[in-house]
Amino acid sequence: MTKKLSSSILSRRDFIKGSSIGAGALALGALSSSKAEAKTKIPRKWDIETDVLIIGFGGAGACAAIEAHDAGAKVVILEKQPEATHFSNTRMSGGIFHSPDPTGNRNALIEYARAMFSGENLSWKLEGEQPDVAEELAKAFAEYAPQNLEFMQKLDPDFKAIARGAAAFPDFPGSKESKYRTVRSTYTGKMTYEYPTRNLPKNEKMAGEAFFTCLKVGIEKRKIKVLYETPAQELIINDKGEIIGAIARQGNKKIACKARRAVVLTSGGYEYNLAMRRAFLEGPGVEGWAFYGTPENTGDGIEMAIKAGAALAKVGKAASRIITAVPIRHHGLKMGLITDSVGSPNSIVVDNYGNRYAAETLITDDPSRYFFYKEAVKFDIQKLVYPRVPSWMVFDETMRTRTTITYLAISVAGFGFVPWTKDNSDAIARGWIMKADTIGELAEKIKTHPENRKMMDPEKLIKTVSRFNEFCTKGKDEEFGRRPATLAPIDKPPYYALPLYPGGPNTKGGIAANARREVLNWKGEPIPRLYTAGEISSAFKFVYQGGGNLTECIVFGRIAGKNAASLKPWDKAVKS
Amino acid sequence: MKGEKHLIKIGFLLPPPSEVDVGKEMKLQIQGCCFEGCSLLGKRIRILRDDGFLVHEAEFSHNNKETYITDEFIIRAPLHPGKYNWLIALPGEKSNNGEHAESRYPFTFQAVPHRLSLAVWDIPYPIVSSSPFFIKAGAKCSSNCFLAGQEIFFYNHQGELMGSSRLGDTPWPDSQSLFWCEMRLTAPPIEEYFVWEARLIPKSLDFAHSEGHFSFSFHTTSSAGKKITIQVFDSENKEPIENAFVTIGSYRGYTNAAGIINFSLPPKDYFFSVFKQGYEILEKIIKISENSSLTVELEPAIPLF
Repeated sequence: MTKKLSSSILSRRDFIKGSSIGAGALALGALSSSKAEAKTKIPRKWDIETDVLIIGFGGAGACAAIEAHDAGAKVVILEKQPEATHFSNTRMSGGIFHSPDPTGNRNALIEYARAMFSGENLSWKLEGEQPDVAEELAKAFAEYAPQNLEFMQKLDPDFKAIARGAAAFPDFPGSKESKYRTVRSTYTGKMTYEYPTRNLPKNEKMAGEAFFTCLKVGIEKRKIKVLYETPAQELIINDKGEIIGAIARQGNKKIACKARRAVVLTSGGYEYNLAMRRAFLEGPGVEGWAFYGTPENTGDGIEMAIKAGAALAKVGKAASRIITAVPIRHHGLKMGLITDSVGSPNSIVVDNYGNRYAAETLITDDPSRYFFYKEAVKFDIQKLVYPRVPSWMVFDETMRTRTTITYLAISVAGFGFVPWTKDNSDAIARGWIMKADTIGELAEKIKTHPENRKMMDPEKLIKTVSRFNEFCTKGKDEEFGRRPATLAPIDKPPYYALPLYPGGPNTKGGIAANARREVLNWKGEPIPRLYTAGEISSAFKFVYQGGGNLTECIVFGRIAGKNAASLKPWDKAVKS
Repeated sequence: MKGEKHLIKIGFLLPPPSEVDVGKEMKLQIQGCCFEGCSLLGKRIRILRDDGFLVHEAEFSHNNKETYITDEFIIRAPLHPGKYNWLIALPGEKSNNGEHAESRYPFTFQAVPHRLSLAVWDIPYPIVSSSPFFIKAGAKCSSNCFLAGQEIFFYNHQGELMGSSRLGDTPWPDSQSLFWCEMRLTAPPIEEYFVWEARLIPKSLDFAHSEGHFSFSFHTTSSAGKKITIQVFDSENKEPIENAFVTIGSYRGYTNAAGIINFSLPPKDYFFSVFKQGYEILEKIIKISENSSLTVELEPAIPLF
């Protein structure tokens, strides 16, 4: 024992002795590495030179590129996805955007926009997130949004948008006088979400596919260069603190991209960034969430901006509702599916114990789609459980045969990420939807699901279903006041259960930016020559009218592009 | 370690469930390990009841390093419900490597009656008071027992027996083992909402089964009168909408491929609604006074993306 002890003392002394040398070396190393990290070295040779460099070819990137080009700037877009499978959230979306009638009252529109951007804060108090820029944001929105439809139709006169629908929040100030309007994107003059149109000719395209095609036509007409499979990795900052370009990757090769006027970050949210989801999203953990947009939204732009000193705003929010998810994983995270079928006749939503807890139609009745989510994420602190995560949509054979759980035209099913059939049978065969002969047996099956943790009580679920069926007979949901138009019983066997998680299409917020779309540091000062738009710096939180994200892609994408192009170049153009 | 007995640790690799239906097969697998690293290959373990009766014997047939494992094997759960304390035992023995102590691993499980669960469906809505109506009812055993011939009894809201029907011998289509029957019942003479119950008390089955029950509700009305045809269209593309869910009072149903649904109902004012996923809900009061047709248009809703 003595021998052992002395050797340990010796080694400890050695360690201390060694560590003093080591610590010095470490300190030196840390100093040099922090220097290197704070500023990416300015390249001696540039591989690409342009006036405005756009990072991310989604809706906002396209609009920024078009506007910057039209203001006389040379523009290059970097996009990390390959051209053949370039699926952005814009493209995968329903293709809805807002375009208030230009004859509407502009001040009313400012009021309405201010309320939409307020989040949980009180719009009249101008406190909470982004108080300094909220007023200007609303004004900018009110100036540009009424031009949206015209902007799109000018890009491609074949684009046949259908304008209809008013303000989703009729009680907000200015909702009527602003003559708020939503628009559906289509090239056919008609609109259906029955089948995907991504592989069809242009004149048959609908939804987000039509919207993005229109933008792409605008890009192609202007011969704006898009470099696919070229993810940007770092912003380049000069001694004055200006953003003068970015380092991107093409295969194994690093390429230096010079932006003589500005860089615009339009690379989307952080839906598939595990660390950011852990850091930013509230509620039931990383596995308790799912998203149904592109799995390529991995927060790259947010990370680059943080390194360049950018502040964050509205970042802890996602467009939240409850949706199903399947064990198809990207970046380690399961994939969600758009699940507008929640609240359909012949179905209910129950918690892990087998109880209903809200009117299922709250999801579709509430324009923000947010408040069913708020019910679903209630936390039981005594038991340390989320009793409603997952929730379970319980339905019968009538619904199975008459209602497709997800949209086949758009989102992950429409773009081939998740297989789904109109009659939902494929998902049953894969075990994504549980199937049983009776409600009692269905409860037993839910009980064996690893995420239910044996909480389901079969007798309770049987009672819940019988009681719901009674409400259907009476035509009145006496417990939660669900819309009578959806009161059809869970009747015909077999019976099915589908897990539902908090989630949605995308995260909201990220990089802080002002109304000119200049990226702001933590002091609220613009970072020179860095602009942003779209989901990565969304002006919305959850006070969200459907189509809001595409709308801000146009409005703030255009503003970012225009302002980026207006800057005086920091370097002369080299004749190529 | 000479003179000391080697200890062997045994336990389940694939354990029995804590609760199992009586008479049901349980798939098990056992592992063991000698603390001194001796090979247990070929050694036989025994599963013993609490009265010492031998239930099963299995041999360590392969190993993962020093852990020896049996093949998977199946034993049948006891036929009577109750709590069971059983034992895995490996007898002690002397060998060239030394002496092994006897090893024991007690385990407990519950044998429970098979659970019967019921379903009632195809309940007409509404039902004309005092008239006969047909419903379907079925029963399922948690261990998929053959339930043909079992009798389901139907009780009214006051607990009175209204009739019974025996389950047929072919399971309901697309079900695993839902045995079912059709039942003719007579509606009460008054116009009201009723909750009745279907019950199955199992008889002459090989294993113990719990009772099954399921309550169902229906609405009675006076005899039908006026014929109403409703046709539902998409307000944007003017095409008919199939599978739209239409309610008029307690009458309801889905539209066909032409967007049409027919009702026959007494004349009065009704709450009328139409629902189809992807469209705005339509709700209004309508007055039915004579045979008529009604055309309605649904406005497409905005998808949540």
